[in-house]
Amino acid sequence: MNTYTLIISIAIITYVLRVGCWLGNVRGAGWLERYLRAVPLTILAALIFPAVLVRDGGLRIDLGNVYLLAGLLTAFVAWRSRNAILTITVGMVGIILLKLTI
Amino acid sequence: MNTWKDSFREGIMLTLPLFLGAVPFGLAYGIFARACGMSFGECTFMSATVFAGTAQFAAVNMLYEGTMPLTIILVTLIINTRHVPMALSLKPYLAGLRRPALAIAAFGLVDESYIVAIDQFQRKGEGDFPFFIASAVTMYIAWLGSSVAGYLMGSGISDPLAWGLDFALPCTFICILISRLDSLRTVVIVVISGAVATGFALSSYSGAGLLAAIFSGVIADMLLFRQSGVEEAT
Repeated sequence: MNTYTLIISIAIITYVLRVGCWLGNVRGAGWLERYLRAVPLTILAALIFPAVLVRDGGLRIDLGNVYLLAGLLTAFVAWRSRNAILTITVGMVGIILLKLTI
Repeated sequence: MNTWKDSFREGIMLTLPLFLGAVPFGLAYGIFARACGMSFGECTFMSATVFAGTAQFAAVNMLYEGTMPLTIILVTLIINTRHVPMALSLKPYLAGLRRPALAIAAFGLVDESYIVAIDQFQRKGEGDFPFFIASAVTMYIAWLGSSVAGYLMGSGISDPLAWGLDFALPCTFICILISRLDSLRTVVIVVISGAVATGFALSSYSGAGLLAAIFSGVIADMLLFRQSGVEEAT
């Protein structure tokens, strides 16, 4: 199979997965909506935990893991301040300073 | 009521940290594709048409290793099946839109635009089409632009994932997540999904981690919190 044919196949499959239920007649049944309300939380967890806990393919729950330290700092500032701009600024300055020092 | 322009601007602003966070991954993808022997055209065409980072990394790696095309297609199918629950949970907020608008918007449904949009829609209690389009376009520019730049610069730039800018993604997601943790239910779901995703990330099936995390979190919600009210904020 030609590489471009393969890329087009992947692109079509990915697009169909994205568009399918929007164009299809999948009715937002009450019970389904009720259970889908957890989806954003699960995706946030899945994007955060591995990104801060797994480095170079290994689990790193220790004080030498700057991503874990910066993640905890970010979570603390987010919890106390409830201010997105402040939180993200502190988190990013934090990771850069941590990388410079550790 | 926001005007179209206000919504569009707000969508861009709230996606900006994720734009910055995606750039090192796009650069890394371009560098990786070049190192794996892909042509500039193939690398760019893939970013322009597939627009799904994890699946693209996996596909390029498998192409390099000479994996059978059917296997490559199946693996990318599994990685991208997570878009189905994402699209389903956004659907109520896009009701009333015409099919051509939905067909265009669906192409921009990626992890980042989904999270920014669903968070905004659930807090406001209503959908906002220009907001979603703005978020999607912002992420598309970040991904396509940085993958082109990564390919062109090749190994001339040192590992972009080591700069710390890659932390902009988890940093922004943590900020959004903390604002949503308001009950035992939300904490339990996050711990279960996070543990499952971490387990997958440590295995050789990391591509399926997001899908597995969605399923485990939603099933935990069904089993443990069946009786909690529908009105409870998520």
